[in-house]
Amino acid sequence: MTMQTRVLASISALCLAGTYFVPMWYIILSAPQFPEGLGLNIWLHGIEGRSPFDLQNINLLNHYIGMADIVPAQLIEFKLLPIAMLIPLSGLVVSIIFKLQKLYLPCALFLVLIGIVGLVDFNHWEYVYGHNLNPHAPIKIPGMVYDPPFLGVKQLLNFTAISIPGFGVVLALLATVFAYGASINRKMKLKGGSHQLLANLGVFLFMCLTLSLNSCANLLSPQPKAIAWGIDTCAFCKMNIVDRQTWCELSNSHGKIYLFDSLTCLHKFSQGKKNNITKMWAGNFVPPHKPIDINQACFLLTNKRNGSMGQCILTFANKQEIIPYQNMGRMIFSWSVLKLALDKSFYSSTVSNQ
Amino acid sequence: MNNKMNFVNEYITSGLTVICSLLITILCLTGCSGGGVVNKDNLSAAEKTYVPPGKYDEFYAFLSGGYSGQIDVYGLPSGRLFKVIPVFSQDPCSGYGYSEETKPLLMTSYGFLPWDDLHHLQISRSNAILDGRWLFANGNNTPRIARIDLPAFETVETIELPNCAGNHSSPYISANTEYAVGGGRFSIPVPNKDVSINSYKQNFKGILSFVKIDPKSGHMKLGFQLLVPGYDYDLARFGKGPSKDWCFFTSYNAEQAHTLLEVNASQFDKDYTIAVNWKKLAALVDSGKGETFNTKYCHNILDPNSRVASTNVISQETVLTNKDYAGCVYFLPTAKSPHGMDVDPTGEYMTAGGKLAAEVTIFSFKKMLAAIENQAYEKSIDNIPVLKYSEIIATQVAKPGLGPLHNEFDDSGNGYVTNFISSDVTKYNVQSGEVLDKIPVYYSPGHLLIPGGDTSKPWGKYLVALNKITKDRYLPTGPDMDHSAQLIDISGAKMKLLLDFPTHGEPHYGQAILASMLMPKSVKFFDLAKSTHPYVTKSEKDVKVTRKGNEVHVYMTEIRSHMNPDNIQGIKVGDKVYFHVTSLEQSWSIGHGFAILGGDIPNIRVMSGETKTVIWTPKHPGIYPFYCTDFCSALHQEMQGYVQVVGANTDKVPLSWSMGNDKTD
Repeated sequence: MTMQTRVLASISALCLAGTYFVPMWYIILSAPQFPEGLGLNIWLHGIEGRSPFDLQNINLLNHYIGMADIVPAQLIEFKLLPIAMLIPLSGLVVSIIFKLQKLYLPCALFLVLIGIVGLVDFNHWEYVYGHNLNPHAPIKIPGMVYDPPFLGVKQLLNFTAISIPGFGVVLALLATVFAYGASINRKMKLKGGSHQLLANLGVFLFMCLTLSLNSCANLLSPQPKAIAWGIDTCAFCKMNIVDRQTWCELSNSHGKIYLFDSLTCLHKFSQGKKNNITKMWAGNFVPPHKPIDINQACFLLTNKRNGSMGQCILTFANKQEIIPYQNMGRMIFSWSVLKLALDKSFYSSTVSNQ
Repeated sequence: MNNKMNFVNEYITSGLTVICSLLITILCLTGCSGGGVVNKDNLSAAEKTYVPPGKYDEFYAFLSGGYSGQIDVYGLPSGRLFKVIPVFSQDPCSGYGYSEETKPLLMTSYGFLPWDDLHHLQISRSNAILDGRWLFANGNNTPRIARIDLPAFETVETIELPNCAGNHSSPYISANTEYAVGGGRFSIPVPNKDVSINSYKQNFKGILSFVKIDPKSGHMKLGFQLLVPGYDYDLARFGKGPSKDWCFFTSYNAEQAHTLLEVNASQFDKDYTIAVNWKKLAALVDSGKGETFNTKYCHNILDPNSRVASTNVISQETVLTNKDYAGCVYFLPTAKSPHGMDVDPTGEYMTAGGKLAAEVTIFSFKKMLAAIENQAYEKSIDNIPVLKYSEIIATQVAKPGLGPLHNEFDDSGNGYVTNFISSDVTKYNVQSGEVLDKIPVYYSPGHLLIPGGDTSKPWGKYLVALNKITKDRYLPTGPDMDHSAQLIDISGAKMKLLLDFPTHGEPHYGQAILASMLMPKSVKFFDLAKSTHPYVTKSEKDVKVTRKGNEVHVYMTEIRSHMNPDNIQGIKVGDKVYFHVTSLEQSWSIGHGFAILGGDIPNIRVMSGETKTVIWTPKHPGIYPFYCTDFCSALHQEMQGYVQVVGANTDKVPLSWSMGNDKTD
């Protein structure tokens, strides 16, 4: 075993030991009436408030919407994680002391495993935390769930929730890289040759990709964005989006989401960009106005909607939903027919002739 | 084509907008110059006092409320009112003076006195520089001194001063906050007895009190009292720097009149300031000098852990008489009917406005020491030497204005004096006595304040004139109007009026301190885990209702958004019901409250982590709703409950309590 290998392995072990002393993840919440913010620091061994009473206050606020209290002692993860981390750590220490060179790769792989399992579990916990709502909660908003974001920013009612990895994650990543580096170093000494290094780097990059996959999930399976009513503007007509019954969105192949105040605007915007569009949604006319895939939706052309002066296109999830409203205007049962109608200015004449 | 039309339309619209705005601007400008409503000076005053939304003021200003018994906390330069701190008053807003925890703070040897006339304020200081730990206030009517904790902005201690009346020359404190003083503007027999009023000269005495302040805890203790001739001791100031061992009390009524003082106490050309070497006196007391008087006074203090105040009745104290204090006490002749002697930031000059002499006399501390050394005495009164006036004056400010009263100082060697009769503030040079500038104020100023203006380190940026008469300054509100204060910019050679703002009650004096010195220390909530309140309920598991004879104790908790218990049954008519309400919150600015139908005590408010107690004695059977009075949360309105009260002799309803039990009969 070379000195270099041992140095790499020692750095890895030190980084790993460091994860016990710094937070792994941060969740930060801010709202108009909480200018100072509330926060959760997630450690290997537990969750605590950023300030002494933040956890208590977050639990207190969450009871209004029926979320369960976070009780760190009840989360098995925080008992398992510190022990799980001990396995690669002791593996590294043992291999440094007893020069067990073959152990480096398993240590690195084990770390990757902890990382993947940990993140999947974190994501799952967030889902359960946000979905497991007490049916007797004082405040119930139909269709609303409160999963904190896995990574990034999300608006949850009056709170802006930010979720970001802490220094502990950086340390764990570094530990993995160095442990892996130690194993590469060993192989290079044995076999030599740069192609081996390249292949190994490839494996490492794949690992990184796996880790960051979840954050890029939006590219693979795009999700509609929550609209800030009266603030967000239509990507086509530039007017503020205020009508909760006619809004729609599309995502392109770069993962970018565009917002519109009507299907007419979306259609005009999308002309000439057909190949680029990955998904389109429109708000269901039936409360709670959940987004539905435009390609599977039914539509109603009407100028008789309460509270609106002009003509508009309303969206429904299926034919059954639209039947009660059939007297209000003209039913169209697919997006392709509606597009045809819009292209030929069929829409306005049809409606006005009714 | 359509697009082009749109562009043309847009150009026309924006062109019209520009033209309209120009027209409006021109109209405004001509209107203003014609009417003279706005000029450049006022615009800059607006800029200087404008604190944009969400931004902070540069200074906290504490203004006494006089007969409101409270202290009002303002921001400077905006003049915005932040808070009212009840001190010698009952406050229906917070429940101070009504809750069992705070009532003892208003105890005196005369009984529970929920009012006093709060005149003067002093922020604690170290080396004659404000340190912002505590704020002291005097009660003028029934002599008391209160200590306000500045991190919590609440009254935490009061001490009664025995043997005196009209504690006006108070609570002025020494350069290192060693002592606060009290002195009576009324002389009375000591000890008090029913003598003939006509026997004033023979029986009436002045008492000066020195209250020792613990440097760590701030706790007050009556150190000693000084028996002095029967004048009216009006105001006091400690020295600083070279004069820090001395304290100066001005007095009026050297004539010793006991009736129609406006005439009878205005006959002599000079009155006397009594100069006291408190350091030497304290040493005398330590060495066992002085007489022990039997008396009775109350010392009340709020325990910081339980947040419950208690009263301690004390029955003895030490009084020094002229037999004891020779060589420590002197009289300084002072221009007619002075209203305070103020010491400049260097500690060398003492300035006194002769209220009826229309001059400010500036004394030299060095000269005073020399006169004592040389025994340059005019005469002596009751064995107290009177120093020769000509030997101790440095200079005088000639014609500062009419009715000069109080002085504060900036950091450039200037003094500022309020003139009550001519209704202005005069700026003068302390060393030369030369008048530098004068500015009218509206109307008739009493005290004035400059942040740190009575310390070695004034922030010479603003001056606040605290005026006594309001008249036409604001929209009228009937015969009784809040007083007006004027904020004046003193950063330049010329004083500039910046702002008028109303002050509640009658501010006699105020203190201001840099906001950054207090802001970081401000308490956000009280730590529930550390509470030692005897009736605290630390979790909802511990909620209970207990009965001992006809005394019922309800251990209630409040947290967003419920009260626990919220159903209480089996209380009887005539029971003495104690509601001990604990807020389980540990969050900033989230308060709860408690009120019950027919409750003869106003609401109490409970801050995060504290316990407050009210007593309720139901008089008739029935259902009595109670609720949280502080809009704490979105479901505040749902934060409510019921008490069932049964007849005094009914035994069929056992005492019970619950929350969340929606069982129906």
